[in-house]
Amino acid sequence: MDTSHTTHTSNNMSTYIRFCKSKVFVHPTRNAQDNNAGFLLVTTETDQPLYESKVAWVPEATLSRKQLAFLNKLDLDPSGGKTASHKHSPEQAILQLSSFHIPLASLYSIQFRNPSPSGWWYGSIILNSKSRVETLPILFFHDDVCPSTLNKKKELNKNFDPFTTSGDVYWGGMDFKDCVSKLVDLQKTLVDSTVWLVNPTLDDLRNFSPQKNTNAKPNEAATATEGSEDTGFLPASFWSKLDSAKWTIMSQIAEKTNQTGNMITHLIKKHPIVKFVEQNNDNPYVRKMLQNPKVLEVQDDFDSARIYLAKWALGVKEEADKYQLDDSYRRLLINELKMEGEQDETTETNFDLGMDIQFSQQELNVAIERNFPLTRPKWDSFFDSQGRISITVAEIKDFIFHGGVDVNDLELKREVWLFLFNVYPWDSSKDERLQILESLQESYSNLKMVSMKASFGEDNSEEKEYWDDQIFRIEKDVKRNDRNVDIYQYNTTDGKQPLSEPTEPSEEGTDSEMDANNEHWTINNPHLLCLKDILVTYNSFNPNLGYVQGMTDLLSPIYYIIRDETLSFWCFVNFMEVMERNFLRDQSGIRDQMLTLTELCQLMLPKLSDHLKKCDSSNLFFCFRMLLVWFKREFIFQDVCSIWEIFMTNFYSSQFQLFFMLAMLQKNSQPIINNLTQFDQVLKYFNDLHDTMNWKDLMIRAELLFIKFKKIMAITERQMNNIPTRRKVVTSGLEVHQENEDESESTKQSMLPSDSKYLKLLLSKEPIRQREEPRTKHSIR
Amino acid sequence: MNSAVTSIKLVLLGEAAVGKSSIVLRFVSNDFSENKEPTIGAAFLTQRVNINDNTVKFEIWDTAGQERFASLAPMYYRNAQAALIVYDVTKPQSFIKARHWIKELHEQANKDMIIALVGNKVDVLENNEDERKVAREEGEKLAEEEGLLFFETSAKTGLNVTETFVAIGEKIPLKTAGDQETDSNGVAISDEQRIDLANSGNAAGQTAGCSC
Repeated sequence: MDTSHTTHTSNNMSTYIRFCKSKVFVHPTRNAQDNNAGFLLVTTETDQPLYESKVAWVPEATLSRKQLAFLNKLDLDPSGGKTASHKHSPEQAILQLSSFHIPLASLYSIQFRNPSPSGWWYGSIILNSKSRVETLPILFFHDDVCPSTLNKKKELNKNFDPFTTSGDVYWGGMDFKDCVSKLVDLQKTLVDSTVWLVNPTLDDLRNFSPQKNTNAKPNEAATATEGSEDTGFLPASFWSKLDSAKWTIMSQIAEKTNQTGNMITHLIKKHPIVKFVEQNNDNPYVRKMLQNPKVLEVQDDFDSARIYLAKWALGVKEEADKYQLDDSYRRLLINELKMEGEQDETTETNFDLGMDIQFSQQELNVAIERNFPLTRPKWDSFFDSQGRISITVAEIKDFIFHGGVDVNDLELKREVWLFLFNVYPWDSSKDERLQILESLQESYSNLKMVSMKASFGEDNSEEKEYWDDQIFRIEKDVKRNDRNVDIYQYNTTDGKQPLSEPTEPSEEGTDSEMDANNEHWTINNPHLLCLKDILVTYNSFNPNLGYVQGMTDLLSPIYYIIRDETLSFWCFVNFMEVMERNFLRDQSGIRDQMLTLTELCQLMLPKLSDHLKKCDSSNLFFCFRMLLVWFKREFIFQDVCSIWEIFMTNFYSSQFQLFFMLAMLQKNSQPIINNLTQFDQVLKYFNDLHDTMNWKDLMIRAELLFIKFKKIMAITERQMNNIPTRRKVVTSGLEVHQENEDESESTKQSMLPSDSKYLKLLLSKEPIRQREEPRTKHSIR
Repeated sequence: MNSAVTSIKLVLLGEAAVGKSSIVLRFVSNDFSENKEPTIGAAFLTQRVNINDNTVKFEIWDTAGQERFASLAPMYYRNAQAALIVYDVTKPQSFIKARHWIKELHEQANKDMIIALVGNKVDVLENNEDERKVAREEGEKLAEEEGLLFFETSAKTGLNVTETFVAIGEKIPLKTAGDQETDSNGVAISDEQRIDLANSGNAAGQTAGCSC
């Protein structure tokens, strides 16, 4: 048989059929005689990335005998003819006969409806296009006549396993799902488990986010509904939303009726809403809603417009969220993050808030929902054919901020970090990145050479002593940095655990042998050597700052993720642009952050702030280490990576680490207020927090604290504008604050938070860069 | 333990990588680790020792060595009753740094502070006396001039480590059960008054006897 998978066209493009399923039917009328058999295909052009693959349906009737035979063969043996390449390949011709042939990425969602177990109806899929105009027929899988499906069923039965690996009963549509999920980011919605979203945005995912509590705690939900009136518990806004959706759907239906005749009548018999309700039938909220006549009415209008289920589900979700009064975590957060001063009338806040600040349900949802990490398929779906990111940077950062980069995919983290740490511009193409890489490699090797010269160079005594000293310091610190992390653990030339027993004396080995000459042992581990070379190069690259203890902590996670000397160096350089302020000789950068945090704490946690003052700790000195190396010593290594990548997004603020610190203060404020009375005790308490806190909980708190802070700032800004005279007083207050810290405390009483230069700066997403002064021979080392 | 415990707040100072953390680790856990991570800010550890039938509890602040962070040291040595100034006998630079620390403590710190000068890493000299760059006599002389205790130690072998702490403990006036309420800074806290953060719900009652 002289068929092949690929078709060569004049411009050397060739199409490859990667999936073929026979006996996939369209049912244009109620009458079974009108059913049209066809082939469901997934095609890829050989020089295009996988995610640009297309889906097509070709009716059998239009195909020639030869073409039919070709596709039937493909159905049974997807790899058949793959190697054969022939001039007369039928792919192009076949695809020209297709009813539709559209990119997978242009789909919004795919619904997989299982066949009835008793054979009453066929399994089917509904492809929902993103475009409102394009309407695709529902495709029915006639498994009973499809050879490949029958074969596979037989196979599965032989193994006494009618289920696929996912645990679902096998049918023809599953093969299609398996294929598609390898090509695009296909994610099951938890609102309706039959609906899978194609390359969903974070907002899509949030809209379809699981009603965890609804499903998990039906009994508690039941208690909560008691006493609510049949009609009273749904607010008017919900109905107007539903009404407007209905109107849109009606026009949609009109459109479809024009296009596809009576196809509509054959749309799903089992309505999505009914399904949704069935799945949640233990939820009294949903049950009650179903009984409402208005819902029943709207339901009828809904037939066919599946895509609007998303919007509808959003409405349901929002309403249901408000209903989640039993969600203890949510309640805990709301309670804890309330203004402390609000409940306590004796505590005077420093300004007149005159309002109570509340979180909207959406703000809470967004902060609490952290279950959608950036995964490989998702990341790949962001890029166009030139390797350029085709969505906004804000959207990507939203993903990273709220879900992080998949912790199990180191390769993906590496790719993303190169953007996060500004090595590659977000808007670069693949070719541009290659060019950047080349030039970075060249300049790094030059810099490295220069640094080696500097360290071995002239005998100029003092300068040479300085360099030698710095290199000694670097080497000493690298040798004792994160040595519990796998790649840094063993001092072997391949960095792996030595095979020989550690009793055998050798230069390479475990801790016990390499101290033959105390700290003068030689580094063999290639990763430790890279850390050292990077730091030595940086030491001369930024000679004013030089190497300072703590930098090893900053480099080590970067190198761990990037795993390449050159690229790690440039990530580190860009990271240090942000972190240089932490290492200045006069400590001004870290002091600014502590002052900012002090003001922030006074504003947001006034009770704790008062208590810390009593403990002689109002300078928040105990936060020093956490701020200096971004909580590197407080969390386990992997978590540090997750925390840093969130900070690096500058999603809300370029100083989000201060909100994370604030969250830590907030979370610990009760134990502190109840138990600690002295400076040393506070210092000790914060010194020993390693591995005691859940960073995700803190990140949620940090986000909510930021949102609250931003609202306070906006409100006080407005207040200030209403009282023009106030600005004068306040400005002088700021000056006093800068000149005389003792008086600033009393002056601040009349100060609005929106006047503080420190607090204002927290709203900025632009990183703050403070550079070290030129180094002289008298400079502190 | 019901008998009175004297708490001594002690701070370790000295150039980076001279072995401050290793001395503390030896004293607290009788252990040694070649690759102890560099200290950032400071670490806090405690250890009890019995000195002449009395229990002394050392509350140790182990500080970061690099000069860049020296400006933070007062946070740690204020209220301290004792200090260990550590240098590396194989690194003359670290001995110069030790002189600076002595000067600073004399000028800035508590006048009654008991200070010990400690030359660490003498184990390196076992095989090769040439490695010594700071003579024992030099250290002794400086200590004598400044009125300090003096020891040469090895955190690696454990030589003189506990001895150093015991010598400090012996010089600090011990408290009896009667005068438990201590100096105005309230540095000493008895066992009964110890804060228990793991059990913070009940802890309010426990701190009721605090001196402040």
